Amino acid sequence: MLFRFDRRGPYLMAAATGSAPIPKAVAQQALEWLVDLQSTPRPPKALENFQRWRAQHPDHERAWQRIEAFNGQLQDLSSPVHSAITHATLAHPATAKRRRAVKTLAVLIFASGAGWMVQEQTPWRRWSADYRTAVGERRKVVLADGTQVILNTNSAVNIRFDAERRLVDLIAGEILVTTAKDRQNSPRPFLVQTRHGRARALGTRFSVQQLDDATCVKVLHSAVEIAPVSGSPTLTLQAGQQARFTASTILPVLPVSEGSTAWTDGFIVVLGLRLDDFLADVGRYCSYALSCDPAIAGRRVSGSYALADIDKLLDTVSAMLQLEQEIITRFWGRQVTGIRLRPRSRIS
Amino acid sequence: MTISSAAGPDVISTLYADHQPWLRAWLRKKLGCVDQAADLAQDTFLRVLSSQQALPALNEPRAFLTTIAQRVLSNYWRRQKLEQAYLEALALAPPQFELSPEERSILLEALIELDQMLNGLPVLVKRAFLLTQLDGLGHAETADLLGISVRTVKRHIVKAGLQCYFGSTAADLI
Repeated sequence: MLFRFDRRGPYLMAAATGSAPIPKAVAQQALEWLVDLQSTPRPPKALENFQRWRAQHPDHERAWQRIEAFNGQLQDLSSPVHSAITHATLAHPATAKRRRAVKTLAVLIFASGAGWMVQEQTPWRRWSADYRTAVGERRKVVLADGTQVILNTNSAVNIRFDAERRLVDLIAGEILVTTAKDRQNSPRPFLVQTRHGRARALGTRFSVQQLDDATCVKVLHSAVEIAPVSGSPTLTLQAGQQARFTASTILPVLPVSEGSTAWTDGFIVVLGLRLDDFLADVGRYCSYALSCDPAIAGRRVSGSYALADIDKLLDTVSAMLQLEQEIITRFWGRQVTGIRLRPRSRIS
Repeated sequence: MTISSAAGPDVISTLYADHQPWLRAWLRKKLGCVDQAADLAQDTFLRVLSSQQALPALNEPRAFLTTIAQRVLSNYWRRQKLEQAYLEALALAPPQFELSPEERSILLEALIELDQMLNGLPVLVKRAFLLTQLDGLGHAETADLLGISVRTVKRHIVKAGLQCYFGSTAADLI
């Protein structure tokens, strides 16, 4: 599931409900300020005058807040693809025009938002990958040579086997590999490729996880050789060792913590892990972001939790550490985008 | 939702018993589908029930039901049209922008909501509003794109804003 509708039921925009009506004259003024502030060049002293107006009367402040709240929500639709679809759906009754609108907007997007392309590329690669898993999903795959690959949550791989090598291209996420002996006359090496470099299996069982800024390799049996893309010296990890590497450097070797492959059974097992690290790890299994108040980031979490029920996991941890959950939403409250743990407020 | 009505339960149950089959038949003629007609008949009575207004003296109960059913119907058709437009827009989006099924459905819900808020505004007003507030385009760029003056763009923003930010979002309530 990428989105959840159910956690706290549908929300309505605060602006649309509850509070007392705002006089039309004030609404009109607020809108004129909006237009002025968005003008280029901005009229002289617009900002000072606007702030004076805003402070003049509580209604002014309320009117302005309503605009800000609405536009804040609107931002959820402002990615190029959402925006193009929004325009085409809402503002173009005729099909031919709609088609043109989507095309025009796509052009605008390509022309103006190079940054977006980068972000949109990865999901696309992921969608077209040979094997992939959704958030919260796990999948076991047996490759042509008998090698077993388990994909963790939100992961994607392409399989590139040829006469020379057995290559798994890890596009995103994490895999646990149990290699099989290659039955060809001259056995081919088994490699896992990430953005940051390669891991070459010298034995049987290891996991590779692609993070944003590094790749993490954990060796459970035999050994794995890791090689960053930059061509800097390789390193051989033995069973029970793990290391992260970036495109240029290998970071210090650490022992593999117990329970690091518990995910293959649908659990997360931790012992005295920092709360912020714990939430970052659990966050991989749900579609919304998990975070916590910096003041409690260093609190320790231990235990074994089922990954199939993140709500329950969060409830348990909150109860244990005496925390409360703050729900962060968008799309007019329809989608939960985040849950933030914070100390319980005194009055509750 | 708590259902309370100014009309007594008796009035409503009589209305239901006497006219529900008739209403269903009426809706079926409009829709050509038995199941849809049953659903919308149900929606119509739900609206009657949840209305805070006193029911008018029901000399003409069928005329009264038809009025409400018309609104339910037009909402239904509006939604159908929007969904159709949405699917077409999705089909036309560049392939690298493919959305997941969940994202599709959530976006549709958001669009239905936004569509209701923009309901009744001329297309140019909607576009000027979306281009400036959603896409963050400048007034001059928006004016160029739409082939209207900057002054008109500003007027459109105020017009759409009055309805969107300050108008009632629950349009069509009886």
